[in-house]
Parts: sequence; C-alpha cells; structure tokens
Amino acid sequence: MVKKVLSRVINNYFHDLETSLKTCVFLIIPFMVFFLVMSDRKPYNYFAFIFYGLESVIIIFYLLRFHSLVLDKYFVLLSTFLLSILLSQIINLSILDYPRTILLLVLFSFLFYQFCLTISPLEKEKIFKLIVVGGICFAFYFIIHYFSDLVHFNFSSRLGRDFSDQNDLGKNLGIFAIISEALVFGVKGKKKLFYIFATVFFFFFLLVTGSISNLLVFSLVTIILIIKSLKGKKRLIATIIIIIAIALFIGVLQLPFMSYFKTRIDNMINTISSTSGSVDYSFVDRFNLAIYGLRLFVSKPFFGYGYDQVQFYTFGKNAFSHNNFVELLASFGIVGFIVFESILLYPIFKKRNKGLSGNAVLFSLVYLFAFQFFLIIFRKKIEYFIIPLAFSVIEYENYRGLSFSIKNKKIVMTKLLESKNANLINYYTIDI
Amino acid sequence: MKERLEPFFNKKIIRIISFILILFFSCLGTAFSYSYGTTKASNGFYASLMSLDSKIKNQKQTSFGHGMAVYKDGVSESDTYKTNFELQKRTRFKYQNYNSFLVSSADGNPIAYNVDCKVPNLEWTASNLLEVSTYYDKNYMESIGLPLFNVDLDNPSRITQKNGAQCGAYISASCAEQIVTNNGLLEKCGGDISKAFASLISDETFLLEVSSEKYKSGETITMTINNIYIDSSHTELFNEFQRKVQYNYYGDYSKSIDYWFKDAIFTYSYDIFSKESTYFFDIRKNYGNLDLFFRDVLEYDYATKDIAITIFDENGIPYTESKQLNDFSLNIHKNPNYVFLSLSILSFVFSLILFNFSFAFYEKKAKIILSILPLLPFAICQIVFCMVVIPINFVLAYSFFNSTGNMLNIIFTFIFSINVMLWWLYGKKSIV
Repeated sequence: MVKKVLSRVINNYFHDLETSLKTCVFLIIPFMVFFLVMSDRKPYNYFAFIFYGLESVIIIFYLLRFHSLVLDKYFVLLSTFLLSILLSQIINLSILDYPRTILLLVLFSFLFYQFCLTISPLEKEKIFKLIVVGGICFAFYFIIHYFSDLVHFNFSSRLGRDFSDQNDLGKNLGIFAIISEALVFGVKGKKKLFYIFATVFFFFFLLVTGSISNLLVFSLVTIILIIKSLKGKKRLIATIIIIIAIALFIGVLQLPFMSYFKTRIDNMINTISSTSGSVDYSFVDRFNLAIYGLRLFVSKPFFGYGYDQVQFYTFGKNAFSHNNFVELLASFGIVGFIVFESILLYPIFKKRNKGLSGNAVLFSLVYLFAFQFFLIIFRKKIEYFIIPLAFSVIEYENYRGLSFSIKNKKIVMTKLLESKNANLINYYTIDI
Repeated sequence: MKERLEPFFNKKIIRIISFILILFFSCLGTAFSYSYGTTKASNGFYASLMSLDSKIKNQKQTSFGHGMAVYKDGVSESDTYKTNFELQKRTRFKYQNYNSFLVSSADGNPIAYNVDCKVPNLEWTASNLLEVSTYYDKNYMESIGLPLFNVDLDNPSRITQKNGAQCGAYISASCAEQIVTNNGLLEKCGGDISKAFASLISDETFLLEVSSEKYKSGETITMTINNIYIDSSHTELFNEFQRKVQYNYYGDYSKSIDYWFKDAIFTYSYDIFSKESTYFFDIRKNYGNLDLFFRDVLEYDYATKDIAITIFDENGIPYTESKQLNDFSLNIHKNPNYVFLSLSILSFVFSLILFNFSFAFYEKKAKIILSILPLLPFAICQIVFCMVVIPINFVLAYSFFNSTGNMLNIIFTFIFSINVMLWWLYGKKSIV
C-alpha cells in the first residue's frame, strides 16, 4: 500500500528534475507562510530566513536550468522602488543604513514572480491553497501556545505578542481569511466547507489579536468580496445576510466577553464626535503620529528623511507613523510613495485571470491597500508574497519585456513583444 | 475662441514666449511661496530645531538634550514657582520622552546643596540635596525613570512629610542600605534587605536629619523617608512591573541611573524651591522630543510669557540655537507677510492659465515638456535644498526652503498634475 502511494507520488510529482524542483518550491510554501507570520520574533525569524533562502535557491536553479529570467514591468517597478530608497539614503547621507530587509524581500519577490510566470493557472491556485494550509498550521500552533487564554475568550489581553505585533499578526490572519473566502467562491462541492471553516477559524484568531483596524478592514473587504462574487438573487440574499450579521455583531458586542471591543469602539466614536468623555488613546496617538509624519514629508517632500527615520523625528525609538502612506512619504518622499503605491495598485486596476487566482489576489491587495491607513506594510513579508502572485495573473493587452536564458552555454536575450494582434520576438545571444 | 487663438499661437515666437512666461510665473510662484514662508516665525523655529537636532545627533551622547528655562527679572517668585510647577505637571504624561526637574537656583545655574546627614553610625555623610524636587507621589517618581522600592503596589503612598518633619525625602537604595545596616534594621529583618527597606519606609518615627550651609544657613532639617529609589547596585530589587516599565520606556535605563541621578536624596519641600526656582528639562532622545516638548510642555510662544530657555550640549556649553528659539518664540504670533502669499498664488494661477491656453496648440513632444515645465522650479529648489542642507547650514536651508513654501508648491503641483492629467486624458487632439 505504502509502496503504491509512494510510486504514485513519485510518478506525479518527482518524475523528472523540473517537476521535482517545482514540487519542492510548492512544498516549502506552507513552511514559509508559517514562519513569515512570526518572523518579527526570535528564533522564528531564523527559520523564516532559512525557508526564504531555500525557496530562492531552488527557484534560481529551476529558472536557470529550465526557464528564463523575464525583465518586464514588474522588474521595472521593483527596481525603481529600490532606486528611490537608494536615492533617499544618499541624499540623507545614510547609505550604510540602506534597508537590507527590503532589498532581500524585493529580490525574493522578483524570483517568486519569475517562478509564477512559469506555472499554469491551476498551479497558481495551488499556491493560494498552500498559503491557507500554512495559515492553518500557524493557527494550530497559536492554539497550543495560548491555549489557556483562548478558552477564556479574553480578548482584552490581545494575544499574539509572542509571535509578532498584534496588528501585524491580525493583518496576516486577515489576508489568510480573505484568501479562504475567495477560495469558498472558487471551489466546488465539499471543498467549500473546508474553506468556510478556514475563514471562520482565521477570523476567530483575528479577533483574539484584539486588532480593531484589522476587524474593520476585514469586514469591509468581506462585504465587497461577497457582493462582487455573487449575482442576481444570491447577491440580494447575501446583502440581507450581511445586514443581519452586522446586527448580530452589534448584539454580540453587548456580551461581557466582547467588552474590550465595545469599549474601544465606543471610545473611538467618542473621540471623533465629542470633546468630553473617554477617548481611544491608540486612535489619538495614531492621528498625532500621522500628523507628525506629514510634517516631515512637507519639510522634505522629494526624497524624505530616509528609511526608518520617522521614529527619530516623532515619538522616539520604536515609534513609527502607523500609516503606510505617511511613512512612505516621510521616509522616501513623493518618489518612493508613487512607486510603491503603483506596485500595489497596478494589479488591482489591470485585467486579471478570471477565477480563483484573480479574485484571491484582488481582494488580498484591496485588504493590503486599505490596511495602509493603520500600519506600515512596505517592509513586511506577506506583501512581497502576494504582489508577485498578483502581477503573474495580469492579462496584458500589450506585453513587453526582456527574457534571459541559458542555452548551449550561451546567454540568450530575447526581446518579448506580445500583443493580441502580433507576436514579435527578437533574439540576441551572448557567449559565456 | 480656439479659432481666434489658433493663428496667434501658431507663431513660433509666441510659442517660445508662452513657454518662457509659464516658466517665469512658476519660478515667481515658487520664490514668493518660499518668501512667504520665511516671514513666518514658526518656520524659523522649526529650522532652529532641525539644526539643534543635527547637532545633538553629532554629540558623543546622541541622546543628550538638556536645557533650562529662566524667567525675566521682575517676575515674582510665586508666579515663577506656579509656572514651573505647571510645566512639571505637563511632563507627567510624556515621561517616555523627557524628564523635567524643578531646581532651586540662585543665579541661573543649578545648585547642589551640600548637606550633612546626621544619622547615627552612617558612613555616608554628605550628599547633594535638591537637584530634583516637586515629586508629589510615588507614581510620579516612576514616571521619570526612577523605579521606587515597592512597599505596597496597590496602595501607593503620597509623598509628604510625616511626624513633624520639614521635608519628605527619597533616598537611594545605597544610602538606605547603609542606614538599615547601621541602625540594626537589616539584622532585625534576618538579613532580608527588602523587608528592611519596607520597614524603613513604613517607620513613621524615623527621621533623617540633614543640614546645609546654603539652605537655612546650616540649620538642621528633618526629613522622613518617603521611598527608596533603586540604583544600579540594587537592580535585583526591581519587581516585575518595574522591569516592564524599564524595558518599555527606558531600554536598559537602570544602568544609567547613577549617571543621571547620582544625588543621593531627592526631597520635597515647597519652602525650598519656591525661592528662585528654575525649570530644568532633559530631552533625552531626538528632534521629535524637542518639538513635542515645545508643543506640549513649554508651548511655542513661551517667550511671550517672560520665559527664556537655554539648551546645553553634553559639555554644558549653551547651543547658539537657544537664542534663535527665544527670538522666534517671541514673534510666533506675529502675522506673516500676506503680500507674498497673494503674489505666490497669483503667479501660480497665471502659470496655470497660460498653460491651459497654450497646451492644445503644441505638438506632442512640446506638450510633454510643457507638462513638466511649471514643476521644474520646485523640483530644482528641492534638489538644491537637499544639496545644501547637510554641507552648509541647517538653519539657513530649512529657513529658506521652508515647510510653508513646500506646502504651497505641493498644492500647486497637485492641482497642476490633475489639470495635466485631464488634458492628456480628455483634451482634444493638437490642432497642429
């Protein structure tokens, strides 16, 4: 029996070197997802580094041996982003503080994009499924780590600090939940049940992180996703269900174990609408930090103050503006801001593959875009995982690029010019 | 209209003139906007702060920022004291950013009253008194980074003189150890230093007698021990809460307690510091703290309230920026020159009108140049600013290329970009 299964696995996934490498890349994804969530903390960051490194090495070997490196719009955008950071660092005389994390993440993102270009739409769907698997593994680890806190439903203790900043952790869980939701609408039959369970599962963990910002973004993106994915009568029914769910949530908020969320929401409303009573200090601090960040931007609008400098001009060490737009503007000026936002928004406004992958990347990116109002995302890991996937599902009307491959000990540069009407390819070869 | 303008704009000379005029008005707009900014005292204040920040960052101790506030002659003692006490209170919620001390001073310089302590068998005989005062409760002491020995966390006792003593005092754990060793309390408590300290603090009858030549001409002052602050040699006495506070707000701050708070006694007595008191502040970290300090504690218009400040470097030499800050603070409410603002807006509007009149009559290449032209002066100014800000002079660079000017230029850039976008998207094809 075991022999039979083994031979089937070998025949399907390891029958030649190319398939084996591809399988290895897929197998590492859940591990990467598992550790990327916790990569702000030791020793998890070491494991994350190992898995990211391993994945990158396999992809490089896979591309050089069987495929090519494609330099297209994504490459241009990524390199412009890196250049804008470099420019800012040079102007601020802090070239040695160039953010190596971003450099490595961008490099991984570029390689992962190259890999995504070589695989079929069905295989891309597999990547999303593997992300969910990695997320579920993390959720189980979360249960083991925080078991006693979880059974008491004590949301005010804001669990998750041992793994990452709670808001950042909430964001990762929110993305997993959104991908699961997209999969609910993308798969058929009994598999739906699994992804519904996964969505609820992730949502629960998002709640225990106590992150109001994630709760808000998740709710909004979920509503958009459901309404957009359904048509006709189903959409009407879904809208009614959403309204009922909101009413139910307001009802549940009144229960004692939800008092943390109720107080925070009440205080937030009070902060905006009244000059007296309790205020939400987190909300006020975020607002002040954003104002400070904007003041920095206005004083150096073109190139900003350089990477990680906002903290030293605002509230001190470990403070950051809690707003990705502001942090980008203050750190890298208008140039870095425009480039990063282009990277994020380009796949949203372009035509994507219809179906599961297209929807999953769209709503993940919408989540990330909205979350920029609450936290910094440009130096976090999951973004550099989702964005290359998103670029790989774009359907270009006119595709331009350069491809580099090794054939017969020669580097072959190919000019790619593809459009719906014409397919023109020029070859250049360089001896090595 | 278009037909009437067509022959006019088709003349080469007119096109060149319109090019020059657009550039000219944009240059004027930028120049006037920066000129308007220079007439605002707040920009000068900001420039001085940036200059100060850069100097502090170039010190050996990059986190050192120390200053004092003095009052003009003629301000009554009681008014000075009240203002100082108010400033002191305002720092209470900003303790992660800075300390502030109210120090008795006769000639603008801090005085350390040498006192002799008359405790039987105490080796430690002299200490500096009155470097820090006005701490009115236990929590407050913690807020300035002096972790107190915890007797009863749930019922913190307020500092006040007891048992007819003249002052209430905080003493260092080293001093306290000598006291409990010499008076036999440590032995009574079976060698348990925690118990001995607790007994010493709760002893309502224990009096510490000190005298000072300068204060009350050497007359003996009696003090009760209100609490013991934990110094570097007693860090083992930190409780979990204190460790957390240390970690969160001060990093490994305990190591530098001796450096910053080397004086053995801190006392509270209105009677002492109401005489010619001076407010000292310690802004430990960065520009943000400097700015926050002026915004939240001293307020930007402090000079209008008869206060002058001096900020010292790590060697105790006053920074030249102190005078600039005092001057700008005095004029902070003075109206800026609105003529420059009007001229700036008018110039930008002219530039925009000319652009809109002429855009349709140019060829594609010229249109591209024309679309960039009005933004050039601002871009050049920013590049010049970045080139001069570090090598030449912070005050000069930030004063001239000020935030107000930048803001006006950013607004113009934004409006102009939308205008250009509309032309490119919806403008009719060139008639040339």
